[in-house]
Amino acid sequence: MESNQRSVEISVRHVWKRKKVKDNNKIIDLTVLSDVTVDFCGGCVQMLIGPSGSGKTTLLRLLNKLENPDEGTIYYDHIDLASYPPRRLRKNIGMVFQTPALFRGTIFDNISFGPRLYKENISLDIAENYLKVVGLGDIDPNRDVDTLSVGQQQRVSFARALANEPTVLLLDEPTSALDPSATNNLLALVKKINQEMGISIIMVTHVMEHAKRIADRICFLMRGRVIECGDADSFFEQPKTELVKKFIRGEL
Amino acid sequence: MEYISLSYTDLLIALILIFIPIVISFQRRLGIEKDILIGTVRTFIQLMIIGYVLKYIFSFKKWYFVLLMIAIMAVVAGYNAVKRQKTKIQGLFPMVTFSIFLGAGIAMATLIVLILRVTPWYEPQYLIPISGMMLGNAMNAAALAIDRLIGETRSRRWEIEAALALGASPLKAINPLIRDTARAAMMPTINAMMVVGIVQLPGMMTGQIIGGVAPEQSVRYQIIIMYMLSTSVTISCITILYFFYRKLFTREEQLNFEPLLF
Repeated sequence: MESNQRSVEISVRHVWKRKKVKDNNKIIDLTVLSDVTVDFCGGCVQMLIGPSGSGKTTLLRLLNKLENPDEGTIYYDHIDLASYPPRRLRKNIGMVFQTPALFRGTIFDNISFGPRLYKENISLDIAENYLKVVGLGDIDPNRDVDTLSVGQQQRVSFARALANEPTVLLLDEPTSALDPSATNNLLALVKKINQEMGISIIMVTHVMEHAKRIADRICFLMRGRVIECGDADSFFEQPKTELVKKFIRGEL
Repeated sequence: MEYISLSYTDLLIALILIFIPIVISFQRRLGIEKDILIGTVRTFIQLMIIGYVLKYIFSFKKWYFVLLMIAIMAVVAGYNAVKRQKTKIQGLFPMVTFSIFLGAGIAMATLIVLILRVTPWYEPQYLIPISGMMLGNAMNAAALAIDRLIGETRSRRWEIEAALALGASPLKAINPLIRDTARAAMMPTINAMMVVGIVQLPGMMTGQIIGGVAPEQSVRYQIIIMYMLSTSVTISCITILYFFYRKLFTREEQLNFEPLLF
């Protein structure tokens, strides 16, 4: 499928973001995103790639309003995020972080957290189903999350996000705490979630291999600007900009 | 029973007790001689002043005057709790002062109305010193609670954001941290109830005994004080935490990173 046939689900228009950061015990103002305009297509796996400090994580965090842009507009389903109630938005646009960030308690406590917020009590069976989806079908949902490996914990955090039945899932370098084999399994899971459940994926990574393996579309960011966006094949085979060529050659 | 009244000569002799730490500090090069001297002088001046102030208050028995004194003490306690924070947070002072005042106030009201039943109810001899104890403990607990909640939020930031990202309200997201914080801030008071009388005799009880009160009476006062402290500390702690957590979020239900930067 060509990307231009896909519908635009989230569009970002002329977004600027400045942040106060701590540098050598001094608070400095940093421009993290400069005039970013980009579209995210419905139903596909779209990756934000770029060297560290490029602003890709910040861009991701604007999409479920964990932060607000200083200027510019973001639309989800043609609705301006500025007027979108945060909780409703976040139910639709789920997120998985770099670290599992699980809540204390059992696997079931974690998976049922989202539905309980909306007064839905999910059964143990449903929780087990989500565990199956993320490849933990043989694990008892009543187990304490502390007894799991980091890879398993990250899978539970996927199950927790999926239990909210989101239409979009934001992934902020979800493999950064994992070893290579766990990383491979997780990438396969991401693709499966996209294809079998029809959930759009927007994933931040700085690893080109991840993009090559599962991305439909790729956007390259550097120093807070979107340098180039394109379909995965053309991005790697016919990069349009010098910066992307350099990045592909590993020179950035 | 009687007590021995102290003269200024007695106080001068007591300076020997200050002389010893100064000599040690000088000889061991601890470099705190100046602080000890300042502390010595301040202790003298502050307590002499408060002695005369209390004398005046005790003789000037008007309910509004006693309440005004307690209010001033609460404001000073609130100011101190704010000053102790490494992070400057807008609007912290009124909420801390209110929390401290509320906790101490409820404990005091119980004492006055149900237990002492003294006439007049604003008898400053009881109200002022006991209020001071309540406010002081509530102040420590509130200051500790604020500092601790900021620290917890910093170290468990991802847990909060994960909850927000699932659509949780800020309160729902931070509630486990509030619980841990409240527990930590209240623990010193609860622990004090465990060891009181075994490890050390509380200051007020000691004072009463020296003042000639029968020990079996002075412990009754102390028992009530301990129970009052647990109420005032708990209420101040919980109140300040549920006011204060809002400062850690924006109106759009995001973490507010500014208090967390420091």
